[in-house]
Amino acid sequence: MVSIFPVNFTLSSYEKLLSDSQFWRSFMISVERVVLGLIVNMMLMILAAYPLSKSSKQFRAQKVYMNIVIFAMLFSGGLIPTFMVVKQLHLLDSIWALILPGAVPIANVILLMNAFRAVPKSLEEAATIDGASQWRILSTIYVPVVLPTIATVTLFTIVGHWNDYFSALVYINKTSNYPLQTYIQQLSVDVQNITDPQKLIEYSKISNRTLNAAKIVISTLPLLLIYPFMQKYFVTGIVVGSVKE
Amino acid sequence: MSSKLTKSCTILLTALLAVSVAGCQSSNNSNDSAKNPAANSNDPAWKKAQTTPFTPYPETVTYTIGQVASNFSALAGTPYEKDNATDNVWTRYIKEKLNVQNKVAFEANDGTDYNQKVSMAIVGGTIPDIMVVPDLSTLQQLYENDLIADMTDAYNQCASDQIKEIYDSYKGRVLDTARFDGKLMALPTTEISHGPGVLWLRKDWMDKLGLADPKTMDDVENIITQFVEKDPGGNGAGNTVGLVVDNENTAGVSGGQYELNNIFTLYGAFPKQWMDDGSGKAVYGSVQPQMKPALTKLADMYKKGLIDRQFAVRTSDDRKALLTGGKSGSFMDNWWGSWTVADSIKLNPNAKWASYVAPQSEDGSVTMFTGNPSSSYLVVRKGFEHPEAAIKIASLQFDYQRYQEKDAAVLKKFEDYASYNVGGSPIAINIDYYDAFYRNVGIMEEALKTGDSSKLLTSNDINAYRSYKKYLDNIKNGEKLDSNGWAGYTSSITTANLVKNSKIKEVNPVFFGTTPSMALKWPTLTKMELEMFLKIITGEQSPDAFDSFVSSWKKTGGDTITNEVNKEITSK
Repeated sequence: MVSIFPVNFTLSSYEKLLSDSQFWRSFMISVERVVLGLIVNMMLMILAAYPLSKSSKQFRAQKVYMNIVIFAMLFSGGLIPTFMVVKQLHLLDSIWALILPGAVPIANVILLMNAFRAVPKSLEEAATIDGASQWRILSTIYVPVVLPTIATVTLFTIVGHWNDYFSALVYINKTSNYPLQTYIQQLSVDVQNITDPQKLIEYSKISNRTLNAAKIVISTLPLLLIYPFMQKYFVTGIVVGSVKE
Repeated sequence: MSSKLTKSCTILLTALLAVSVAGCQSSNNSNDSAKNPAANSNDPAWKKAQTTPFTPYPETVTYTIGQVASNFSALAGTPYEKDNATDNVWTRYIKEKLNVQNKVAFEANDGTDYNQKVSMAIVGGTIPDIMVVPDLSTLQQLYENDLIADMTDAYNQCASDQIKEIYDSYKGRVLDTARFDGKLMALPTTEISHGPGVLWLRKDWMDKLGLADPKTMDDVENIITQFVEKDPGGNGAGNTVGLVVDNENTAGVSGGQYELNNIFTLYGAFPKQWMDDGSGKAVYGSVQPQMKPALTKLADMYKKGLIDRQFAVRTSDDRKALLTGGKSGSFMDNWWGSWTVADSIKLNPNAKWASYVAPQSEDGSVTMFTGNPSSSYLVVRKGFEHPEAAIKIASLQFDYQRYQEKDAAVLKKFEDYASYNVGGSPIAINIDYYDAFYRNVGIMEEALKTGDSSKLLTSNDINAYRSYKKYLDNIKNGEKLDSNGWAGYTSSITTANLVKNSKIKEVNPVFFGTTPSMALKWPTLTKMELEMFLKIITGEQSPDAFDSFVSSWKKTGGDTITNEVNKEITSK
């Protein structure tokens, strides 16, 4: 009889998973990618968004750069030209191939730029009068004020890096170097295009649905753990102001 | 003030660019071709190695390869734990016997992922020394762009006699597809016969209900009806599912799993095949009038519940679970269908599956359409110093290791790999006789009867012999059956015999490639076709909708493509 509680409950899949070295290797590669990717992305995004948030009075070429950025957002080189670039920069098969092609996510830059724009001008003026340099204004005033937006963008970046499976499929040539999501994507073998009986027999022997399900559950855990920590920025950020006018 | 700000902004953006460039330097390029010792053509040792199949090179020859990934993590906890793509049972064997070592240029899972890597390597302009390309049109492109080496001489000198004999047994159907302007440009894989579609039924259910073996379509329908209505599996009334059917390819792939090819061919229909219409012209099977009665029949079966009512939404895992879990007792597959349901023995020791070449036509025969005789090709990069190395590896793998290796310790390693389902060989093609699966069944049976395995021809057979022997011993002693032993014996002995002794009519489709218009139009047409199949079978549309499908198929580009196919055939 089917009732609320599962029959023959077992954790054997999870036990088996612990001994799967490739799974954990891929897991660590994903972690590495998220950490490195986050550092690179955040740095570049803030450094790009800050000048772009200035009016063209302050930064004369702002419009030109803005147009370049928008253009790059709307039109991409396409899969193969991008692949050629990555290849000719000798990035193939390294973790940088997963990070650098998407080092400046423009949608997030625009998000940050708008957050910077919303910061009252009087804050910057006050700091300038006190003798702060642009670097200092950015690091001690602008960044702390837009922390909620930065939290949002951070989350986007982490989720983006963690969930991306496709770039590794294209840029990584050794399956042992695949990050976690690519490894998981591989589990659903595409038998459609295979007609050789020898191989088909091999595939019909494979059936490890529960094991694959366990892998998917484990792969979502890190993201689930990050959300609660980000939560507080979403809640407080909205109500805390910094200037009364 | 303003100019100072502009300056710092510009610096920031420049820094941004600089960082992205700086990151590029700390990486390595794995696609560099391997460096090889220069072959000295005067040195007799080199000369011999380059002109004979099994002579090792005097110095190690290294080649880069695009290979299909093997599941090495399945070896965890075994003596082979540390094996990887360049150091495993196969690569060590090749190194030892030929002094040839692989170096991975790229690897990916078989199928779409691997094919994508191949296209990437081609557009990137650095193809590895050796790789397998997935279709004829890719091979043709490589040839036209002068990227691959001519292997005619290498094949003549370095392919072993057995390999040549195997290719000859296809009477040029295979090897000639890789010949361009008289030059052999690749080593094609040989697709062994898929055999006819085989109907698999739960024998223990049939016994319980006192049902005789099926022959005709009516027998088959009767058995499935009884399965569904009388619930021999104890699933509860109305819970037993009818025939398990694939949703994406209801039929049309030679040897396809869960496909109803036999029912279509019973009515003379050949879905998804380019067939000769009798006058030498190619026509597309799915739009021929014979399809209509077959679809009408299936719609009727679906209505009666003889086809899984939810087949349109099932995944491949779902289908397997229905069968191994005892919810359904019937599916159509091919001779290795026992592997599909091998797990059901683990779940229910009383489960018994039997295979039938059915439904048969009035004269007791079953018609099958054959598959593409050669679907992938082993190519060597133009400029690679040792094109013959590819042929030597193939000869070693498909001849020497299979037929001549007698060292039990060596064979044991390959047997272990097989039992963990790990491939490992860098070269993912297969060269075997067309009738490989029932070719040696007589010898095997003889050996099993007498217990004398000395007459067995191949290493694979000797491995299989032990597994079957154990299975038969288990039956004799009333022990628990091993599912691998059962599945192997049932497919390679029971079903192979069945197929060998059945009346099979083979029909060869005339075209397997692609034409220029297909790139644009084929996806739409395939989708239309799939929808037509599903709608008519599930009764959403009446079988008469088939006629309007045909006319819109022709209008939407089907006619153009048919013309192109005919042009390609006549131009050959």
